[in-house]
Amino acid sequence: MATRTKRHPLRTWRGPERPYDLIAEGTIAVVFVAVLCILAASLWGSPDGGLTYPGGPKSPAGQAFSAKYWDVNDPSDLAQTAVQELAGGTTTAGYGPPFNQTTGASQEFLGIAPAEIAKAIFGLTLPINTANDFVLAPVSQLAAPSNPAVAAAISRYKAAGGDLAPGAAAGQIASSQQMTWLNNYAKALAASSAKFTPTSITVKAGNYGPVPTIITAELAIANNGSLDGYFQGSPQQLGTNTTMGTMFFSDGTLWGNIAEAQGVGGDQWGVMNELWNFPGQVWLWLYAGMYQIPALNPSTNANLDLDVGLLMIVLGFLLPMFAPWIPVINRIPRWIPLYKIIYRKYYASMARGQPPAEVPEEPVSPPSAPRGGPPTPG
Amino acid sequence: MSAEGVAATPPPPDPVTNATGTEQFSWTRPSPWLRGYLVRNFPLRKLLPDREPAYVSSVLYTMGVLTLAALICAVISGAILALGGVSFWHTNSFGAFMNSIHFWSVQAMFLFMAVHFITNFFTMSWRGGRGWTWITGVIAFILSILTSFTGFLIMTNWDSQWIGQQAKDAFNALGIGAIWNVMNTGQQITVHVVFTTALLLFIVSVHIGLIRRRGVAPPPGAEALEVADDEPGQPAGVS
Repeated sequence: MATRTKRHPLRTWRGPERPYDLIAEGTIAVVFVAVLCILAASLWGSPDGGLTYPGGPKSPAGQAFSAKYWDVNDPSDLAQTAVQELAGGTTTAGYGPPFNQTTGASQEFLGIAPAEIAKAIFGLTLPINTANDFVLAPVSQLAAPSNPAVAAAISRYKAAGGDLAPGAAAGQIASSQQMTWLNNYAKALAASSAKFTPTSITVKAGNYGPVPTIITAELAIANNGSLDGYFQGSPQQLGTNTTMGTMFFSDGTLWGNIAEAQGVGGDQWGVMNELWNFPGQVWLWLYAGMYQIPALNPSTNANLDLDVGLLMIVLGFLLPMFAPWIPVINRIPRWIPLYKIIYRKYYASMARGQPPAEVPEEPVSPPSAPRGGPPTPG
Repeated sequence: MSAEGVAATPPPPDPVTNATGTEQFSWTRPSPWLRGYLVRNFPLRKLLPDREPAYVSSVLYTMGVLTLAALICAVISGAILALGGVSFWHTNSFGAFMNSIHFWSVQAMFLFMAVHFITNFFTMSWRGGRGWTWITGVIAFILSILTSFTGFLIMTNWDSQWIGQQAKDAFNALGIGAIWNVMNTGQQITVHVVFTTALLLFIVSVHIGLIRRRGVAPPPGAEALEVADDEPGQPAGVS
């Protein structure tokens, strides 16, 4: 005996019908939207403003942030950030998984840190040693071979200790000797007497060890563009991974200042905007909005991203997905009966006891018996 | 013909497919079953209808097809952008125009989708066994968000750098960042052009298939005019 199979009716509606054509409607829709998009594209184009911002330097269309741009426009910020990368004092150095072994940095909810769980399963997938990857390695590779003073400075710095292994914890990156040099130099760079050009730094004399030579070399390779090539490349392959450069650049202050000046910062509902008031990912209003909720303490909450992520899973995904089966939620359309407006003509015609006026002809009667029959030969 | 009569006389095979709709599944010879399933659930008169219920007369009913039309525009303009290479639109005026069309088609798609979503919520379109239609619609919405997000990540300009650097924190906090690195442009190109787009097109196809199979939901209060599943008198293998 054949198993019972659910049969969906050939016709799902026995009320009044009207003529319609799926292909015709689809074609008209595609043409309509295409014309709409071509019109919008012709009138407004699309955002590609590069690093343009009020009061900022000229920036060609589509420009990306680079070490060269950083060095030319804010060598002080680049130099001070590089010092902190050596000291393990930047956001990247203290980030924790997936970038490094820094403990206590992963965001938690009820004592559970998903980043730590991911690290236990997959390992440290994107290991970064800020001292080595952002400063020492590129300076060793790009500047030291042609500059004995830089080579000697690198050797002296490395001989002073510090953990240069990939993913080393922030506290292990610099030794106490190195920290002495770095702290002294950081103070000197922050002093008002410090003078910067894109390729030189002038500070008062002090106990800085080899650090000034290394940082000046970092500025030089940033200025001639080779540091960008280093970040975008790979020891063996051609690169399409921009992680290293992005992490280094974002440790500086110019990076965030540009975003704020363009109005795309996180506290400016940034993800919903693009430059020059172009719409961005407007559909992420719920996600962007959660970062503005006072109850989540956006300015002090160390677990903000995790809180928002979990809320998005609940409110942005599970709630709409199961709305039809969630009590109260599924009653909302009954309490706010907008459907009565949408179907007003239908309800009016039913109240009059006649089919809607626009019905042009009688509906096709549902087949009461199977049509077809055996195939006709030929 | 009475209901008993139909039950007693199984319908003859469909003349085109030779399927009755009652074929049993077989792992070694699944084709007859699949043919029967398709004929039973997706007869051509449902896939390519020329009539619709009279209540489908609001402009709100065009929002679904307009969303689909915008998706088609996005896929075509996106394919041209991808063929040109990920950066060519920055320096090529045709590429820049295609990028603009791509950009606005996505904006239009989400606008139409939002109206479609709200309309279907307030008309309770999940009624009458249409729960999976609702669920696939929400999944399509989520996939659209992921697709557009990865699109913003592969613009190879400052905007994409900034969005990636900002978004990584949420991804890392949730533990996803260990394997989905939003600052890795190469990975995002694959995710955007192949992975999420293919998933989206598949889910949208299922969504449309479910709508075509069951028809649009009737107005609240008119459910009695719907023809129920397995109602007597419904032939199986007729297309």
